Amino acid sequence: MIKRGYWDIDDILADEEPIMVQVTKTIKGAGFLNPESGELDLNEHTRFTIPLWLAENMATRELAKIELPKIFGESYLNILEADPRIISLKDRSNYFFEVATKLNDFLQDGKFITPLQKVFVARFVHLYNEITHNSDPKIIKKLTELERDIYEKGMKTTREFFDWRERKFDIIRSAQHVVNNAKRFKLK
Amino acid sequence: MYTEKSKKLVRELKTSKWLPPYNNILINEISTEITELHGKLLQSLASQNEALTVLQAGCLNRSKRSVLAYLNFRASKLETLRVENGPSIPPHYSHQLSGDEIDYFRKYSALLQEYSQKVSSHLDLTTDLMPPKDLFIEVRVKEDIGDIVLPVSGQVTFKKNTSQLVRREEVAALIRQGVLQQTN
Amino acid sequence: MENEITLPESEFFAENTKITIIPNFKHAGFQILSGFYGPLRPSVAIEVPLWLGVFLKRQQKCRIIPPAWMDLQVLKDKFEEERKKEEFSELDFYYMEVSSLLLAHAKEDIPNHVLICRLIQDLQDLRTSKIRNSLQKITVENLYANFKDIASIELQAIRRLLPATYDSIDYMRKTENND
Repeated sequence: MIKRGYWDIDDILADEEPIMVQVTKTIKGAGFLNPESGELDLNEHTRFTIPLWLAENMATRELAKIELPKIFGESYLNILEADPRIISLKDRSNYFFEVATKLNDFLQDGKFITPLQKVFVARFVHLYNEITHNSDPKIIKKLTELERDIYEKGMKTTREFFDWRERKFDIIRSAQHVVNNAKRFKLK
Repeated sequence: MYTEKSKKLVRELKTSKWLPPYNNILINEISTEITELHGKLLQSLASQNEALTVLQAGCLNRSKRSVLAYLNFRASKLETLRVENGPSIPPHYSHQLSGDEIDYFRKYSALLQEYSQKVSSHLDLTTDLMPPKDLFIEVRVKEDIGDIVLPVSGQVTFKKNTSQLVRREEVAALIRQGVLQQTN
Repeated sequence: MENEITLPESEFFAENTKITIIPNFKHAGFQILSGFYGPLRPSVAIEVPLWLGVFLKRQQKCRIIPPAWMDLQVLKDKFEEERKKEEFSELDFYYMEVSSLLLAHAKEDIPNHVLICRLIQDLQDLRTSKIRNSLQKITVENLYANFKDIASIELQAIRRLLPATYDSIDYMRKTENND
């Protein structure tokens, strides 16, 4: 599930997405934002990559202009819409949906939010099939953080159902991760 | 770039199943960075360089947010551990914590117990939430813990690799810690 | 720490439903949280919560009368009805949990229990595939899936998934209307 909020770790990590910007106003002393240039100042027309949170900051104050990343551009979205299931969204960005939504928030260009939802829904339906039939665990490699969360919830449900069917559920589980980690530690 | 270190700190949280070791060194470095940045910010403010001030403040707040979220994430993992696993920290976990975090755990544990007592002296608020099917269950002893006094059953001996019939609610905590294992 | 209802918990709720038993012993009655059940007299039918009935059955102190819907012909008809419709047919909300418990502990009291077990399983498989079909049809323009008359067991299958998915879509949509 997508959670927004000051404290949410995934929200913070989504904000780190590298975004290409073009500076629209020279800022004295801000060269530290672009260490590769070695300059003291940040000059107008410089094109470089900064994290999403900084890009939003600068764009709001009209210090820079955000360039829409290719992965949210029309041609890529068309490829995605053609067959959303096969493509590894994780390669594009581990926080694909969150980043797209934040950028939309910002650029207010409605063009990619609707296809984005379509892609999400299509992938969810595919995921649901994978969850309910024996799925290839390799699929995780193609999923973004959000999709992985949903996938894991689904797998947990399936496992729970099989345990219940065999009436194995009355057993108090030792906090599993504690026991597993203890074993690993002892082996060292 | 000023926020590289805080980015690294938050990323670390994703590298381990429970928590990575408390990165005291990195946090201290970030603190120093923040203080330094703050000094520069005051200078930019004085020289009326609006844009620079705003950017420096942005970096400062970002680092601050990262560190706070890091600490908060760890604290809530500790709280969950206490509720699921009982009042002691498993040794292979305590290595990952700072002294302050262990202190936090202890204080939270005491608070939880105090609250639990006030709600009801018969009820353990952190007990296993699975609805039970039987009053008595069979357990296999995984570790030799000798004699234990249980609230209803009185004194019971638990010798390694033996099986016994015990009252479910009394041994729930021991099962969760891995000392006993429920067999069916 | 989970905030969702798990299968064992839904079975726990199912155990509160009433069932008719025929005790083989005499007892003044049970005063429990949900009320007073008794007095118990040999060969006299009485209604008790399911969990109590199963408890007594396991001690061989009673016979259990299966609920009206747990009859071979009734279930066969239900299965036919289920096959013909796209939506869910009406069934006892806890049909899976109740039948699961009874078949585990009181099968000798259930005529045709083997066939009934299989039928109920088939019924559940059929209903689950209806969920899949409903979900496969959702699109951005038409985000709704119809789950009228869904039962507890099917709900469990989607309980963790759907809210997370819909919340994410909602998050994306909120910005769509921000103008």
